[in-house]
Amino acid sequence: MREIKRQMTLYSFYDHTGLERHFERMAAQGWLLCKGGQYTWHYRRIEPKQLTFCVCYYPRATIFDPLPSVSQEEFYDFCAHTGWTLAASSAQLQVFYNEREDPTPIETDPALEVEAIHRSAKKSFLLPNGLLLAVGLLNLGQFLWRLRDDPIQTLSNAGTLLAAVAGVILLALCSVELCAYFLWHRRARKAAERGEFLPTRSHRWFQRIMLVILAAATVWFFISMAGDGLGGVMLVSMAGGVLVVAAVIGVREGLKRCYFSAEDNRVITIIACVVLSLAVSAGIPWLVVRGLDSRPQPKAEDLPLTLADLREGDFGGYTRKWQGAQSPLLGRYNAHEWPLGPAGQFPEKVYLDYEVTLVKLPALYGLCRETLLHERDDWGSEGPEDVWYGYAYVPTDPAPWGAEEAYQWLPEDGLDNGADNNQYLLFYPDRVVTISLQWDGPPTRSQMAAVGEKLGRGPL
Amino acid sequence: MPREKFSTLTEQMFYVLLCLREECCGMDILDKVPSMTGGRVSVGSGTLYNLLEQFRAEGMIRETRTEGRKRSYLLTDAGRARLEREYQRIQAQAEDYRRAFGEEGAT
Repeated sequence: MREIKRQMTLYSFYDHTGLERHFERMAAQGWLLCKGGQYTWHYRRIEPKQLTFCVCYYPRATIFDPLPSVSQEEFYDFCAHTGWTLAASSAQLQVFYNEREDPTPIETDPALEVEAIHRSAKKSFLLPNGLLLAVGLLNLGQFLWRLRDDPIQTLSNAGTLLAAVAGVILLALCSVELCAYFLWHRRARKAAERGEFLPTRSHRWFQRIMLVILAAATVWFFISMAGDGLGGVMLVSMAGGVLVVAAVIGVREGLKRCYFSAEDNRVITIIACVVLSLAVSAGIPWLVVRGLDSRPQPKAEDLPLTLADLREGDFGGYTRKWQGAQSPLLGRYNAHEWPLGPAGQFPEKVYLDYEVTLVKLPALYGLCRETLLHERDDWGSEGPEDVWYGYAYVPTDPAPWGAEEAYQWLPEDGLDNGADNNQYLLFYPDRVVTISLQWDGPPTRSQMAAVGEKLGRGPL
Repeated sequence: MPREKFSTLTEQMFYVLLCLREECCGMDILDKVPSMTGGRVSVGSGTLYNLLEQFRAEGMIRETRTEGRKRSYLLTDAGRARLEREYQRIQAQAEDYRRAFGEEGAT
């Protein structure tokens, strides 16, 4: 039978009423609070009993204090004199319990209580939540900017989507916390003017829902990244973040155990936090690059369509590239096959490039269609005598491609600067293909049919 | 905020200052207030701690002695004047009541 129990705390910093009722329920179940932490509460087993708990706030305490100050000890003595025993404390938050029946409360003046809570909240609640709110807003702004700039790239990147979901959850949590606090504080001050105490209201249900959504989004992310090397990199990145938080807490607690002053502890912990965050921030991109570099060169069978499917010839020595990004909304896959080697190794210079956008959520098909059809609107090239050659997607017969719609990338106004124009944009029911067949002459009907069969309908 | 707050003393503030007409430590005050008021008024330990700090900051009491963590306090002239003003206010209220209901109503 375990003697110690840990519990994650989901109560707001200022929610003393919710915390008191919670600790009283735990004591009635045989668990007495014995240690407070930043994220968890520790309980030890006792005989179940009815205890009265009181959560109060000591504004001058900080999370870096190695020991309670003399004046804080004096405060504890006052409480002990009226039967209140300190159960646990965490920075400004002090939790006492009393075994007497109907004890004198620790706070008997509502105005002083509200003032102490507000002074403590400024340090440990309002500032961190305000900063997190700013981070959440920046994160959301960055996501919306990327979405506007390149919606397909953004929506097909599961990591970006997960970060956006986490950012929105952070934003929602901080907004609700801050709004609920200011609302309570305003009402509590008015109640105090009438000499009344205003209990706090918990909104743990909201925090729980947000955490469930975040957990579901994380699971969804890893499922969608299964088999992709970047999933592992993302896992390492998340572990890195957790490690930084754990290490920073470890440094702070270690310094407290060595009786460093609160000021020294604060400075050293901040330095450790900055150094570790920079190290992890630099290490993760390095890991990503290493992860990408360590991928083996794709073989011909890895590509859904190769030059060998389209033309006669020996393409064994060709260089190939195959990469993709996918999320539960979209997938985007790129392939290149080209002759890269000493001059004369490849007498026939033919190239193949294509990109397939797989639309998993049908509602996004229209967005993908418009984006791909217009993403090259400002493309062109400068020809002889500074003539600007503009290009555009011109509709062509989709039937040979087995597509619903087909467009060819051609010079505007019928002008031609002599470049190869075997570039096509093909629309299939659940995907869009952009393909460049770089060889002399237009593709034959059988080549078009092969593209439709392999890329328009085949597995990726 | 404390200045505005002390423009009218609450019952708890009044009795804490009253206790400090003679040298007392915090724990003495916690015991004295209920006995002085027949249990009608009690001061919470957290409230007393904050009041002593604020009274000291306002110069209404002064620290007289420190024994370990135990500090003793005494009312200052400013504190006495403030207490006196509160007494006058309460008396004026009582007078107003008497005038309204007469001596009979006051008993």
